[in-house]
Amino acid sequence: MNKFEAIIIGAGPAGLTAALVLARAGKEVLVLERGEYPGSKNMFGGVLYSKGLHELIPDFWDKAPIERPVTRWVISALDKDASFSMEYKNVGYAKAPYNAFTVLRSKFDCWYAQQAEEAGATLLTDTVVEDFIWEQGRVVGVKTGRDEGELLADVVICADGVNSLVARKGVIRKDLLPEDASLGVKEILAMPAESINRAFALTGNEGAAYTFVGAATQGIPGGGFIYTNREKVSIGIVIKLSSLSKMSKRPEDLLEDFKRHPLIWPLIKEGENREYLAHLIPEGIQNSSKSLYKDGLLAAGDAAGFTLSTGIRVEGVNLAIMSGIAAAETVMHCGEKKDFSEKELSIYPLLLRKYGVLADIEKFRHAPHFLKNPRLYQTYPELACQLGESLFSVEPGPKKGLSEIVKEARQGKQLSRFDIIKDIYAGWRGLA
Amino acid sequence: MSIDDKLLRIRFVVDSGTPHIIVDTTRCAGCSEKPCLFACPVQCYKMESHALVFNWENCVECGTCRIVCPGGAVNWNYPRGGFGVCFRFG
Repeated sequence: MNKFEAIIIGAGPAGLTAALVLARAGKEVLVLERGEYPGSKNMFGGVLYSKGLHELIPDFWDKAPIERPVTRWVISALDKDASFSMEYKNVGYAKAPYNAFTVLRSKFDCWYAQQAEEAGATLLTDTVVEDFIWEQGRVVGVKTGRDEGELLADVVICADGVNSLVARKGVIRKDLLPEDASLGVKEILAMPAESINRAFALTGNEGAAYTFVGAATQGIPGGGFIYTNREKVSIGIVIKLSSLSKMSKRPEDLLEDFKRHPLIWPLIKEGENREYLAHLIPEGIQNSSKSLYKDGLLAAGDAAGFTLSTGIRVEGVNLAIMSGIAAAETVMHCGEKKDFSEKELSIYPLLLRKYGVLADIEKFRHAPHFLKNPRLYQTYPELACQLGESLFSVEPGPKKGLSEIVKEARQGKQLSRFDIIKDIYAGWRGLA
Repeated sequence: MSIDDKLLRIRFVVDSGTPHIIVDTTRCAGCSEKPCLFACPVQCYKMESHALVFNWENCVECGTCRIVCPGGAVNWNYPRGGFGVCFRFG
């Protein structure tokens, strides 16, 4: 039977990063991917932050299939026919070292897999891992769906994504509850580059990232997004599964309504559907160190629940890459000690903290609670748009001061001053 | 554009006759919520003459039904290696 130093389940950003780092260190590493090619099962919004990957592959943007560097970030509170936005534009983001790129996962993940293979990793696609091979309570390999598909390794890294059927068989993680996940649905729309530039106020190959709360999801906890690629636009919504279970609105209808919103439609009306996708996002999972590793086994990326959403910034791939580095370094440490038991693997959470993964998740641990507040998705977006209306319309007669405007809007929504203070405090606690 | 038209543009490698998800519909009869009916983003779950019917052909393997099903009726697995949804853009 074949034996590897490390077997990695899943050729996504977490698994491929671990494979790349281990292969560069001369380890014999095998990546198993259930899809036809890396990325074929993957979806994200999507923006890839550049700095983490730049450290692994300097100037990766010269070689990788990136779409556009993002120079415009727009966050909007969306009401029925109005929006109140905050925009951050930085043309410095259009040159090295950039800040973030839009990418399409099928292309990007394939390229990233190639980098791991060129460094010496072996990639086996079309291969589902069905279970682990156990020996005296520790993982010593995997059983795949192939004939004679048993493979042995010193250590197995579970990077098999949000559903992570395997990690749960390793008793490494409890199953997701509707409160722990959101559903993302998205469409890829083909649009000529000039039309994208015109609609999104962009020049050259610069890109835009738009996020929306409020009417984007019709008041349901979640949000909408639009990202511009070279000649495609990614548009989608994210909805909390626990809210989706309680209401009778279909995600695909919510997405279609979002596209048809009078403020959104002009942006994308020239777009032609090329692909419709859906994927889960783990959110607000509180990891104990016991859910990250076990004798002979580590979890990384979405499989470990590493995502960060503070409402303003949403990170997944970046944390996946960082957790892949931490997992690889853990394996190298254990290799030196020739011991892959929990005792030596316990360095993993420390490395995760060093690379910012756990540090960030812990720092923003109150954010998931804050983001559950239903007022964020209906009351406040409407309030913001009402304020806009009062600020930008002129009526005959005496004008109202700002405090009067807020008071009237507040009373109309039965929003007490105490609610606002409470929510600001929760927001500060969650995000500051 | 209807969901059916959108589904036509998704690439699937169909593993004929090997469903990766099996729904124990006998449990569904007693389920009053049936969140699967509207939570599944590709409408794999439908009511046909008062009974819940599950079709796995358009499944994009998101896992939503597995998590929202209150009755544990969804036996969810990945398709065999290389089969199932195959996103071209992602």
